[in-house]
Amino acid sequence: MFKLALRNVLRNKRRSFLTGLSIAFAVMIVIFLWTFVSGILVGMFNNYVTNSVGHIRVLNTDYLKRETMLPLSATVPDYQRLITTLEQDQSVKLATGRIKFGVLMDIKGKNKPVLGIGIDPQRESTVLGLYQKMISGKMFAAGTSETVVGAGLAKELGLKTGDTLTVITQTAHGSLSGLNLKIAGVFSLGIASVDNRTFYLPLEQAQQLLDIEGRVTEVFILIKDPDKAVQVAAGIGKTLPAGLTAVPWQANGFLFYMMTIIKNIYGAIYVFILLLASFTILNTMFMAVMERTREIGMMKALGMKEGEIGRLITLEALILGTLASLVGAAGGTLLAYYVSTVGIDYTAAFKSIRDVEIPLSYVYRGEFSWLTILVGFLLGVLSSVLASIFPARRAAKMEPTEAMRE
Amino acid sequence: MSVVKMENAEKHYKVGKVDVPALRGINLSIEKGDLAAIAGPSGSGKTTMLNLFGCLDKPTGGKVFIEDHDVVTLSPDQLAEVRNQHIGFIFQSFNLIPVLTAFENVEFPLILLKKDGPNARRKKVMNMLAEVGIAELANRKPSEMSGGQQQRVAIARALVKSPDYVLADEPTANIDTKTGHEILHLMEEMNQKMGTTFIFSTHDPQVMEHARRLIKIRDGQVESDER
Repeated sequence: MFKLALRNVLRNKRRSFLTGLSIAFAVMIVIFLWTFVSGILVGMFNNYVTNSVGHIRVLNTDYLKRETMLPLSATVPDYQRLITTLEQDQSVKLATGRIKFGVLMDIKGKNKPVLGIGIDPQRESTVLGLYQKMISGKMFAAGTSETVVGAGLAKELGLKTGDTLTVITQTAHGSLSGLNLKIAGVFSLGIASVDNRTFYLPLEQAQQLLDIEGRVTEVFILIKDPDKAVQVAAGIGKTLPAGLTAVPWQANGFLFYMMTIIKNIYGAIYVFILLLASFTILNTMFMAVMERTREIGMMKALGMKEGEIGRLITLEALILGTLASLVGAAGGTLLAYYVSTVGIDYTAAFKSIRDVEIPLSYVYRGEFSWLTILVGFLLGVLSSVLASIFPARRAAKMEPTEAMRE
Repeated sequence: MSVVKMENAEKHYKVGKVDVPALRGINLSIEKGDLAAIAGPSGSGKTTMLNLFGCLDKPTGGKVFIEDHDVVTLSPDQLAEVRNQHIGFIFQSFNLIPVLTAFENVEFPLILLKKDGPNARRKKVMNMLAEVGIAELANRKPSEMSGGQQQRVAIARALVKSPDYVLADEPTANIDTKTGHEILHLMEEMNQKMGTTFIFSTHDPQVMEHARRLIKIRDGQVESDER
């Protein structure tokens, strides 16, 4: 039966080839897009996670209520001990203190709100994307009075690496305080909102500036499996002293919502692409069935049952779909490999749009995954088989008397 | 002993709102060992009759019995089973499966029958191809054979499962007279040697001469039945 189906596929080689080509192409595009989009998503997610919400953050309960104000009065005390405890947890990859505070900076006579983030550069060196995103200078070391500044912000302030950034702000107790920081480097994450209004400084400098020694505004946690953040956060929450709370990234409605929406939209696009391709299978199989009306009638006359005829046609589509999807998956693997290693460079496109002189690198890389390729392949096979159901039924219901017709 | 029997069989086709009678009350019994020709002008109901004999269709009135099975009560799949087990078919345009070789075409009904293993099938098929005189063409595709050779493959395919009877729909219509005679001789030979029952339709007087039983039909009724 397989032999018969295979030969029937090869019967009209050009037609099968063209049909196969469209399936192969669709599978390839789906794998490519999938790889690319999940790369962007993962990148977005990682950027967002490492720069702001983490997988989980331990916050003062009052801080959470007024988070947009960045209240320095509601901090996390005794954070060192908390970090030591958290790092015992098997599911935790990193726990570190961070201080976020708002500063008004004078730019050409106007006040601009800027976000200062105090970090522990040693602890964060392996996770923070900043290290790879320096466009000049380098990341500051622990214990220095240095800073790194977002590219957009540096440009607005008219500062560059080696210059001094003066920060004047209110301490946690309401008095004024100032600090001079040497600019060790300028970074660009490729996210305008961050690049235009953020600077990083060593944690102890921030503590000093804000007069909150021994405290942080948050304990930033990365865990091994980000999808389990809700459960892990709940577990951590139970061990925390009163007044502190553990917040998983999913609690950030915007990020969660965006990720879900984008995934769904692209999911729909993949299905749509494959649907289009499966129409060609539908068409081809219908043509093949109609052409073979008398032959199918004859096979029924010889005693082939409806189910057997239907299976034969489906098997033909399965063979064609499998071969084509295999080719498509191979092509898709190459494309996915390319887009995940070399990436696609949008620098030129962004330059013309935003007229940025600084050498920003907007290279998007895909997230290479064998699972994506496997799923792409299986979707190709599945849609081929589904598309053959109607033609197969048509064939199964054909009359055996057709065989007698001249 | 009858292999297939019609009792007052009727077949009416509906063409739009008009009721067209193709067969009007046929009573006929085909006996084992018959070499029967069904003859009649076109439109007389030959093909319809063959369809009923072949379990390809059901009568709209009366009954058709195959080995005491009443065809009328059977489902399409049960009919397929009956065809598979009891009936061999030879079509006027050979109707071989173009992508299969002669060997595979003859093997096809045995595969559907699911009784024999590959070795037993191979033996039966080769014997049958030798019997119809084209053993050396076993690996050719239909497109690489002449009409007469293709019809020999078709005969081998019809006979390989030793059916109770073989239906042949104008088996010589698409081949030249000389080859046609050879084919008819072959069927006669099979009839005598293997005792296979043949029912074939024709409107060719020369073909009728080969028959040992001649059933003439006209306007959907049996006109004469001579042995």
